[in-house]
Amino acid sequence: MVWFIAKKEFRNNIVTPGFIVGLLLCLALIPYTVYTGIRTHTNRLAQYEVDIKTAEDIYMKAHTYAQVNPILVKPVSSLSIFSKGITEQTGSKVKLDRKEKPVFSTDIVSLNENPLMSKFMSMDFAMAIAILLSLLGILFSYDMLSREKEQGTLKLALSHPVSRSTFFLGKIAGIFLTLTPILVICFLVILLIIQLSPSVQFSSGDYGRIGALLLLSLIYFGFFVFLGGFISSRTKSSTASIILNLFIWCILLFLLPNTAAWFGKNISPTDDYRQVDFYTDQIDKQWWDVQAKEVEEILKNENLNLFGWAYCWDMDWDGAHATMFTPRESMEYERRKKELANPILLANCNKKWAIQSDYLQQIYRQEKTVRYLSCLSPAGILKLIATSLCRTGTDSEVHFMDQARQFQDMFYGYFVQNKIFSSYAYFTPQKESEFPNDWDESNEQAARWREEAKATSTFDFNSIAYQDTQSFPRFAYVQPTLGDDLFEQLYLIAGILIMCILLFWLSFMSFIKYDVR
Amino acid sequence: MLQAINLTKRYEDGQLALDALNLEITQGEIFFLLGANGAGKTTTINLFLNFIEPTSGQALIDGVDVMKNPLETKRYVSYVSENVMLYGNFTARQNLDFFAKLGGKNHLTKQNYYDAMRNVGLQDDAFEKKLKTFSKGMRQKVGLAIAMIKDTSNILLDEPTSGLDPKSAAELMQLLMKLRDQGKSILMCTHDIFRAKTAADRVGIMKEGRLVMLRTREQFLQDDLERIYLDYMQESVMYAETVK
Repeated sequence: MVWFIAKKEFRNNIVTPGFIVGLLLCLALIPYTVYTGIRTHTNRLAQYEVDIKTAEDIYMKAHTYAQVNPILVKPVSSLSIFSKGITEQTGSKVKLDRKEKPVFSTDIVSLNENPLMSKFMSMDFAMAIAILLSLLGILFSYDMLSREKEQGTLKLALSHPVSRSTFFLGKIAGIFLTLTPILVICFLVILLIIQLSPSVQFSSGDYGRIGALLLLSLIYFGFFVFLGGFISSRTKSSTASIILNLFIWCILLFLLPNTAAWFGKNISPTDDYRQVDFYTDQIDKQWWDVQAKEVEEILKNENLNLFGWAYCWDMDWDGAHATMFTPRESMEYERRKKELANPILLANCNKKWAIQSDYLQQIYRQEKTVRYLSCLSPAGILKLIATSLCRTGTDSEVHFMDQARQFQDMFYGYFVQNKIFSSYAYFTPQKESEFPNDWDESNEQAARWREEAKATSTFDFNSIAYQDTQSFPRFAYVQPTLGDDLFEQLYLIAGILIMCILLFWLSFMSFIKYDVR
Repeated sequence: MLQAINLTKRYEDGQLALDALNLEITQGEIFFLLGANGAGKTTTINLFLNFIEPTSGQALIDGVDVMKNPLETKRYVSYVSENVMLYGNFTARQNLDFFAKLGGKNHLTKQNYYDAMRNVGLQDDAFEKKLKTFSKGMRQKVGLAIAMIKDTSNILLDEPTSGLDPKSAAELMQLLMKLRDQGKSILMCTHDIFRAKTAADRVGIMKEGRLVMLRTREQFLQDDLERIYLDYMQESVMYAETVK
């Protein structure tokens, strides 16, 4: 009987103006957001390819080990076509530097605002779904009972041997059934657009995430259907019901998520990043004012002197990162300097991290406050779960940056463990046995090299052999699994489900006691 | 058979809508319940349909208590309201089909529906037209066809002639008499004394929730029903003025 009533509801709904307007809106907006999402994704993918090539070149084309400052690139998620999340503001790559741990991506857009907080109104597929499905849910349900009462069909229907619960469930099922053609048509159009876009490729895991997104959308739609049903059972006319529904819709969809960001910033303020810069600069200042001088002092005590470099490029805080044809004594000076300086720089890096992580905790706390406040709105919940499922949310960014910092520890730990900072290969492509003994030999070597290499300029180093970096640690970003993401979002999923069940129960009970006269 | 035993309804605001109504409408009988607005006629129907719960007393349909077995009793009763609207986007036949299946009649054919609509006097060309194009009289006929197709032993009608043209109203009365002859118990709430005189087997007048007068056909044909009704109404008006 439920199915029978649902079919009637479906047949009745699909000829209403609400359905036709809803279908047209969905057909116009949803494929458009996917199309623009694909365009952005294609551009980001092209950039990703370039970044990956650059990152690989850093390993493969390093004349010295010091030149190996890996770039860690976050893979572009094809699912970002459905939800932009915070990807446009957080960047996607990190350049490692032993002097400082990465706090944010190197290509982050701005640090003025909390970069982990997404802009609620940025239009993408998830936002279009949030607006359209909620609107359709309300349009299909606002007069679910009041219209039947107004046209007298409710009394007639309930004068038949059908229970109120059956009738109610049939109507609810009919509303969900009405959404089916809209979803199917939109899905087919999206599928066609994706098929025509070679840059978008989904893994089997991605399909699982799309399935989860679809399921979430249905739960979200259900929330507004139950809300509409409840209001419909508590109001005397369809007009009053639609006005109240739209009022609540505006609050839930626009007011709450936007005020959540404002309240979050005020409840949980963060320091200015310039303050963090100020304190980390103090540590750098300590290096230049004290520690670097102490290193020089040790070198002096060890009778090591720098008499200059012959060919030198890539200067850094611990001296030259690439030099050739420099006399042996200066080479030894360089080696020893780096051996002494780098453990201090790594220790300073950890000192800075204590300050930076404190700031980062503030950022996380603020983002969490906004996140919890957003949970008051089902649209906020939908957006948060959608970004997580599409790997474009805060969790994904935090996950990536955590892995980047872990990799940094591992990478420079490998340098320490293998005494790379103490090696000549750290700053010169020349073997120790080939070092010139004095400046005459240095000039000779340089002249011979220019002739043999047919170097077009003094700094044409193409002919110089690269270092073997095969054994160096490589960064491989481990994506969280669907299970991990769903587990992390469990409280949000539980939240929207509880809200749905509660509204369903309220509307159900309200209908059971509904005065049909 | 429709029975009301001390059937009483007092609303939450304290208003006594029905005061210990005792009534029995037997098989093959048309009972007209007359009365002014607010006399308790529609409340009686609502109680028989379990739309509201009685404060005390019982409503029985074919001997089954409406309160205890609401779904079962709804199998034995059809209902025609004052203003049959139905689903405007459906055709007359689709409306019939929906309500027939809701009533458990799953094996009816298109022809059955057409026959039912013909029986209530609906034109053939209206069968497959959308209800939203129908006049009130035509909708009322579809409502009756729905009641007929449900084919129950009891029929409840709430002001079915209100707004109908005289011809349609007369046709409706003919149809009710035909149904009465088939052995159905019919309770019709109305203001229409003229139709009562034409078709009623018994007439009751309600006032302020009480059944104040009961006449058989022989009795009310002998008396002047119109005069009796007006006297009761006048009394009601005078009483209201005295209270004021």
